[in-house]
Formats: sequence, C-alpha cells, structure tokens
Amino acid sequence: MIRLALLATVALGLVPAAAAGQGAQRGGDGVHADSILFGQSAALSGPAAELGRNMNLGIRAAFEEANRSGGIDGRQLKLLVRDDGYEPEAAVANTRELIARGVFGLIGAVGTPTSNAAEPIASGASVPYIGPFTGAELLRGDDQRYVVNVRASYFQETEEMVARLTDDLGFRRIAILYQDDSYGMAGLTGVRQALDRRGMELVGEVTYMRNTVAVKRALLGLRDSDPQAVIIIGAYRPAAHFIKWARKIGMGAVFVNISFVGSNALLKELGGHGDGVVVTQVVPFPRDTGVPVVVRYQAALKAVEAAQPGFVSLEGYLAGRLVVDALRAIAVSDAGRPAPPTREAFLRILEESGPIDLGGFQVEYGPRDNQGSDRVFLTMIRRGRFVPVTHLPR
Amino acid sequence: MDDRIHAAFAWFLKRLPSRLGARVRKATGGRFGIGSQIVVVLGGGVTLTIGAVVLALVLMSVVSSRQSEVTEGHMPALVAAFEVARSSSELVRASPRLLAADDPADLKQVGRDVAREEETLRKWLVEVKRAESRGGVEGGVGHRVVPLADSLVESITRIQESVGRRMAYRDRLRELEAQVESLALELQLLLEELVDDQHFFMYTGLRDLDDTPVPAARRTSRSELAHYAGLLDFQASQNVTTTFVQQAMTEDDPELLRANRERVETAMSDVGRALSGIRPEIRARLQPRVEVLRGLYAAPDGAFETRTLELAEIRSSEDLLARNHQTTADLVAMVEGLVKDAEVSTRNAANRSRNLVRLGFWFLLGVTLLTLVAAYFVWKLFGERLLGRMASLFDATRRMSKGDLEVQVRIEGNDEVTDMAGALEVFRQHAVEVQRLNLVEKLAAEVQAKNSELEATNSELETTLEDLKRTQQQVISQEKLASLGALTAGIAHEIRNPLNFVNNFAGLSSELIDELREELKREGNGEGEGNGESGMDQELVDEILDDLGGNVVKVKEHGERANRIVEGMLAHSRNEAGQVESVDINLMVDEYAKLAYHGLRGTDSTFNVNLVQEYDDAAGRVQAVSRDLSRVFLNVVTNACHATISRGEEDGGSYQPTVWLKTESREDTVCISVRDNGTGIPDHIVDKIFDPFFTTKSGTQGTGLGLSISHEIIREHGGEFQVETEVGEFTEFRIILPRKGAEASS
Repeated sequence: MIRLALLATVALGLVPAAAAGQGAQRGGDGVHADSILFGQSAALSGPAAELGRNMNLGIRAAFEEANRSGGIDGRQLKLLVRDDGYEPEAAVANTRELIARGVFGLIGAVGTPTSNAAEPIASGASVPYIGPFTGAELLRGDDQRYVVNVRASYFQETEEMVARLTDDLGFRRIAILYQDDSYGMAGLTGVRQALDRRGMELVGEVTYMRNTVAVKRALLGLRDSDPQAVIIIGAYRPAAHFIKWARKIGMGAVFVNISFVGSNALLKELGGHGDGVVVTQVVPFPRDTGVPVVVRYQAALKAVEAAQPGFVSLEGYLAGRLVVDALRAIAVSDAGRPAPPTREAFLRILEESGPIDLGGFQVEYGPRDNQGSDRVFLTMIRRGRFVPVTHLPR
Repeated sequence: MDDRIHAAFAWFLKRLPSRLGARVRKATGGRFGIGSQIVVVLGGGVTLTIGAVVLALVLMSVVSSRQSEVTEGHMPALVAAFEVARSSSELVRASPRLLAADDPADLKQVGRDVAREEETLRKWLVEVKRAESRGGVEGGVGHRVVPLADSLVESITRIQESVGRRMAYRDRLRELEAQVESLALELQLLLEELVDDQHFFMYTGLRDLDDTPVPAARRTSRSELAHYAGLLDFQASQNVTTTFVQQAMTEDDPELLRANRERVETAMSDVGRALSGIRPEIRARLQPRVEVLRGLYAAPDGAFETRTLELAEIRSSEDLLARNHQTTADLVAMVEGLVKDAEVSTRNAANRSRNLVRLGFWFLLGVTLLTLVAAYFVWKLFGERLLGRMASLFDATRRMSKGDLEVQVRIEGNDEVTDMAGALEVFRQHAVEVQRLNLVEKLAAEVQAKNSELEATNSELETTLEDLKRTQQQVISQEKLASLGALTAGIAHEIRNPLNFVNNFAGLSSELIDELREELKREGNGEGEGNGESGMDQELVDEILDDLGGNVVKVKEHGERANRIVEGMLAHSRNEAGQVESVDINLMVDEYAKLAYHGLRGTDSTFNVNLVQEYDDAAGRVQAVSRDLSRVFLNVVTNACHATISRGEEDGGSYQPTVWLKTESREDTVCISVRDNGTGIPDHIVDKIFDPFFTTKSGTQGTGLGLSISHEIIREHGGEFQVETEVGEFTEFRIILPRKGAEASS
C-alpha cells in the first residue's frame, strides 16, 4: 500500500507541470464616473503620418467641443492615441493594448491593411470600431456589427471616378497605380468593376511598395500605354512623386486620387505641380461654409489648433461628432433614469435612429448596414488650391 | 474411598506442627468434614483463579508495552518515512517544472514551492532520525537520505539559476530580433527607392525634377552600372544576411550555430563587396546600418553569443536534470528502503506482540482446562458421594413424613451428613412412639363421630315421620274428597230431576201469569164499555199478578243456581278421562285469557283491565288434556280480573287494573304465572282457597268450586299450583306443568 503510493507520487513527479498561461486581461468598458475613454491607433509617423495626425486633430476638435459644453452627461471624452506607422503589426499591438486599457471604442484608424488587421480584435472584444479612415469593402460586411463606418466605400469612390472620366471627358484609356497591399487591391477591384460595367479594361496597371516613394519604375511601366487618365490608389507622398515625375517626363494624363490619399498633404507635396489633379472626397468641402457642420468644424478646429481646415480632419471631426451625438442621444433617451452609456446601447442607437443629420451631412445605419454616408464629392486642384467641382471640365 | 481420605486427613493432621495441628483439629473437629472439604475445594479454585488473573495481567502489560512500542516508535517512523517519500517525489517533480517555466514569475513560484517542500523534507528527515535513534527504524537510512536530499536540492537550485539565466538570454534575443527586423525593413524600403531612382535614371537620365536629362552614354557608364549592380547585390546579400541572422536566433544545434556564423560572415562580406560598387554618398548612408546589423549579430551581447550562451545554458540544465534523475532514482530507492524498513520494523513489533498474545491465550486456556478437570474430580470424589448420601437421607426423611417409620436410616462416613443421619434415626425411633399414642386418640375420636352421625339420622327419621304424617293427612283428605265426589254425584243425579220439575214449572207459571194478565186486561176493556162497575178490583189483581210473577222468577233463578251447583258437583266428580294431546301453552294461555276478558266485558261493559303478556317463545308444547287445562286458565284469569274489579271499587279513579300473563320455559317444565294487582288474599283464607265450595263471592256469583277443580286438574297433569299474595297489593298464581304430562290421568 505504502509502496504503491510512493511509486505513484514518483511517477507523477516525472510529468512536467502544465504551463500556466492566462489570456490577455480584459479592460473595462471605458465609462468612468467623470469620463469616457476612446482609443485611436493611427499612423503618426511615416509617409501616412499626415493622415493620422489630421484624423486625430478632427476627433479631438469634436471631443473638445463636446467637453466644453459639459461632455456627455457630465463625463468628459478622452482619447488615447497610439502610433502604428501605417504597419498592420503595430496596429494589432496598439489595438490590443488600447482594449486592455479599457476604451469604450476605437476611433479614427487610418488605412486599409491596418484596419483589416485590427478590426477583428476589436469585434472579438465587442468594442466598437468607429470611423476608420478607409473605404475598403472588407470593413463593410453586413455581419460586421461593431464597425461604424462614416464615409462612403472605395468602390463608391472609384465608381464616381470612372463615371466622371468616361461621362464627362469621354476617356477610354484609363490606367492605375496602386499601392502593393490590400488598400491598393481594394481600389484596383473597384476600378475594374466600374470599368467592367462600361465594357472597358485598364490600359496599364502598376504598383509601388508601401511606405516608399519608389514609383518611378511604375511610371516607366505606364509611359508606353499613354493613358488618358491615371487613377492613383496610394498615399500622398508617392502619389505626388508619381504625378510630378509623370509631368516631368511629359505624360499628359489626368490624375485622379482617391480620398485616402490625404488631399491637403498631397497639395503640399505637389507644390506648384498640382493643378488639374482630381481627388474624390467622402466629406463635404472643408471650406464650404454653406454646410452647417463645416462651420461648426472650422470653429472647433480653431479652438484646438491653429490648423488649416482639411478633408481628413473634417472626416475625423465627423467621426467624433457622430460619437458625441450618439452618446448624447443615449443620455437623452435614458433621461428618466440616468445610467452610464454602454457599448451595446451606443451600437443600438445608431442602428435604430434612422437618418442622423450631423448638419448638412447625413448618415444612416441599420441592423446589417454599418456604412453611414454614401456620398462622394469631387475636388480638383486649381491654382494651388482645392476647389469643389461637380463635373470634370474638358 | 472415604476411609482412605479420612485416613489421609488424619495422617496430614499428624504431620502438621503441633500448634497449627491443634488449631486445625479444633476448627475441623479432627475430621475431614463437609466444611473442610468446601474450604479445600474453594481454596484450590481461588488459588487457580488468582494465578490465572496474575498471569493475564502480566501478559497484558507486556503486550501493551509492545503495542506502545509500535504506536510510539514504529508508527511515527513509518509516517515520517512516508512523508519523506512524498516530499522527495515533490522535489523530484520540481526540476521538470522549472524547465517548463515560461516566465520569471512562473519560475519564482516553482522556486517557492521547492523551498517549501525542502523545508518539509528536512523536518520529516529529523523525525526519521529521531525514530531511528529510538529504534523505530533499523539502520541509518535516514542519515544516508540526507546527503542525497542535499544534492537534489542543490541541483534544483542550480537548475533554477540556469533557467533564470536562460530567460534573460531569451529576452535579449527577442530584443535583438525586433531590432534586426526593423533594420531590415528600413534597409528594404531604402533600397527599393534607391533601386527605383537608379533604374529611372538609367532609363531617363533624370535624377531630380529640376534636372535636364543626362546623355544616354553617361546613364549607362561603367560607374552607373556598377552602382546599379551594387544596389541590387546589396539588396540581395542584405536579405540573405538578415535571414541567417534571424536563423541564428532560433538555431538549436551548437554545431550548426557555428556553421551559421560562417554563413553570416560570408553574407556580410558579400554585403561589403556590394557596398564597394555603390556610389560613395549612398554607401555612406548604407554603411552605418550595415555596421549596426553586424553588431546585432556579432557583438559580445549580439545574437550569436547570446544564442550560444542560451544553448549552453539549455545543455547545462539538461545535464543537471540528468544528474538530478540519478539522484532522484537513488533518493527514491533510499526512501523506499526507508519506508520498507519502517514497515518491517513495525511488522516485527506487531508480530512480537501478537506472539505474546497467543502465548497468553494458550496459557489461560490451559489453566481453564486444569480448573475444569480439577472441578470434575472434586465433583466425582466428594460432591457426587455427598449428594448420594444426602439423597438417601432425604429419601428416608420423606418416607418417614409419609408415615413409613419402619425405614432404616443408613449411618456411614464421618461428617455432618453422618451426624444428620444419626439424628434422623433418633427422631424416627421417637416418632414410632408418638405414632402409637396417636392411634389410641384417633380411635376415641372415631367413636364420637359415629355417635353424632346416629343423632343426625335420628332427626332425619323424625322429619320423615312428620312428612309421612302429613301425607297421610292429605291422603285421608283426598279420600274424603273422593267419597264426597261419589256421594255428590249420586245426590246430584237425584236432585236434578226435581229441580227440572221446579224450573220447568216455574217457567210455565210465569207464562201462565202473563197469559192471565192479558186475559184480564182484555176482559176489563170490553166490560168497561158496557158496565163500568163490573167484576173485581183491577188494580188489586194486577198487584197480585206482579207479585206472583216476581215469585216465579225468583223460583226460576234459584232453581237454575241449584242446577249449576249440581253441574259443578257432577263435573267435579266426573271420572271420565280426557284425551291427552300436545298443547301449545302460549297459544292456549293467550286464547283463554282473551276469552275470560271478553266474557267479563260481555256482562259488564264498564269493565276494563290492562293485560300484560310476556310469553316465552321457548315455552313450546306440553302433553295435556286441553279441555281440562283450558278451564284452569279461564278460571284463574277470571279470578284475577274479579280481583281487580274489587280493588277498583275500593280504590276508585287512580287505580290501574292490570293483569300480567307470563310463560316461562324451565328445564323440563313450563311455568305459567297469572298476576294481578287486585285486592290480594288475606292470610287467614289463603290455606282454604283450594277447598271445594270455598268462595268469597257473594250471592249467586261463585260456586266455590273453580280453584278446587283447577287444583285437581293440575294435580292430574303432574303439575304444581302455587299462590303468592299480599293483601291490597297483588296475587300471583303459578302453574308449573311437566312437559311430558302425567303418566296417567286418573
């Protein structure tokens, strides 16, 4: 008996103890007594830094505007920012960290590859993923309940591009330069679909490496096909680089950029070489004071930083405003019994509100519809400035 | 046998020292009596019992000391050995756990567990040593376990340290990996743009936006081509270098790691060669990054050294673990030996005490058997003989008590029973004397009893005489009655004829008077019209005729009474026998009671009486002459009713005239009682009511023969006629009839 027990214990001793590993700890829901915490992971460095910074600026403008007027039912909105340098790995790490710190929602992510990598983490933790600066279809699935897109999709933008190029200008030879990643592929797909609908094909199709300005070989690749227009699905630096070099070598094509390019940065990067460059937008023109929300945006922006109004910061502002309005709507609908807002209530109120007017810019969500706006705006650089246009001039 | 015992006792007494002998002699009377025998037997028994108890106590104390040796010495040793085994195995398990630890916190936890188990082990080792010193465990195994445990703990500590170091190396390697990766990315992006630039330049001759294109010859000059080739080579070799550097960080085999170093160095020299072709200003941008990469790999805290150290540490841990296994095996074997020793010691101790218990058991069994054998012999030698003698003595006594004084009392032996036998013999002889005297006394008493008996017989005879006399009287009276009956019959017959004449002629006279009266009346009326003063005085004639009529009626009444008396006398004296038949008593009583009642009501409509009938269903039938018997019931019930009428006349309103009729079945008789709450019968006439012609009724109502005839009828049926009465209260007649009826009805 005793011998048996001894042998049993000795035998057990030779079995290694199971490694004790616990999963990442979960944070709270970001709602505190006097604050509601949000998180942002975006590119604050690298070639896409302007995008991240402006998204952040717009969101802050909206949050601080709300905070100045008492916050959400007495709670101040706070934003935790992490730089992912437009790299998916960093975006994943940042998103995990922010969720662990207990943010109410993630807001203002920049980029398709980054968002594609980070969104499943947020959804997996039931954390709203609000207003990512991307039009990728991958974030617009009807089962992606935790994603709250503000802007129109890339497909809608590319459709508008092709529509304008073919309808207004009658172009038949259209080429594309796209970044060699999921963002570029999304744009490429959109353009192809738009052309398919018109029985057309791309005359040229070139790529460049993300986070570089190595576009010149691509330019050489397009030179021979002599396109009438080049649709650029890329970041502002390589885009500007490409346009400048194309013009340098005498390419007379119309360059059409997608909103993600970052219009102000593009303008700056192009310097004096920007006239005639077209950019599709998903937000109203940031200096169009005829739109009420733009007026509010400009005031809010001024209160935060002495910065020029821009498309990206306006998009950030709209995302921020959507959050503020939704949270306030919860507070109002719960007026009878003041209770802290929940993520679930936030998502539900968006799904159930019907059209939400942010002031001349309407968004609408539904149970299987996570995209707020379908509108695409057209802008063009004229005399070193962006101007809104409705059609492309011949 | 007895004699021999006594002789032995005498011999024994003689052998005793004179003083003691004198005292024993005094106490025993110098013989081996029952007292002495009991003393000897009980003394022997008590001695044996005390011996057995003392023996048992000794054995118990020895067993208990053995047992306490087991519980206080061997058991703790066993427990301690077991705990040592447990702690050892826990320690043995610690080393794999250490090796499996993921992070420093985990490692620390295992370290704490080890320290705790070590403490426990040492504590129990002390216990084992203590047990050894007490002899609970044989051999100094405990002492031999200690160095092994020390060695085990030491090696565990060393593994722990080694694992700690390994973790530090792993952290450093992770850091290096990140740096290498980021550097590689940086170089990749840089090269992409440089290659792009150079490529574009070689096509277009343009390097900057403001430039004018250089001539084609310069674009593809030797130096431009070398630069372009250098960039491409650099891109390739740098990729190879990065791959090898990254590989080094995960290489498991130390030999292959050394080979890896050679490869990295080769790739690095390729990178250097590529650099030499690149234009100086670009090379200046790339060179520092290459140096950083080299440093990340080859510096003393670089990837190679760190990985080498880590591998060495892993090997050292494995060595330690292997040694640990050996130590462990020794320790386990040792501890097992320890446990076994403790077990053996415990078992031996337990065996010893078990043997003792067994020995004690057999010993006590022996003593018990000895006692039983001794008891048997004592019983055979003394008890049975003593009992036999006492039984014969008792037998003699019992026979004597039954009067057999001729029995011989046997006197033998020399003890208390002998004395008793002697005493009994003396008693017997005395008793024989007493018996003789008693016999004389008894004869005298018998004579006296006979006298008393004679006296009693005398008085009985006297009573019988009296009865005889009374019977004689009765016989005479009956004889008288019988002769009177015969006489009466004769007389009655003779009187009936003249009486018939009297009655008939009285009736005839009465008619004649009526006729006369009619005639006179008619004559009176006819004459009256013609001559009012004719004949005799009419009124006087009517008066005379009325008187005559009344006289004739009286004559007829009395004549009829006389006739009835004669009828009664005839009936009384009639000798003809009625038919004997089976009669339902209840039915008959009921029928004739009702007849009596209605008869009375017929003559007197005011008459009323409450008839209470209690008939016994078991009354059944009797053999009787129904004609005669019915007469009795009619008579008796009629009398009862008359009695109530008389009482009613005396008492008036509140009186409730009642007659109870009751039948009762007895063993072989039936009793019919008729009770009334009438006037009752005064004492002075109760004796006469059964006499013929005795009546209390006045005038023409009673003949005085009813009860007399009834008495006669009942007597003929072999029954009894009883009366009970109290004046002013009640009268009850009881007729008791045998069921079979009388043999003859004379």
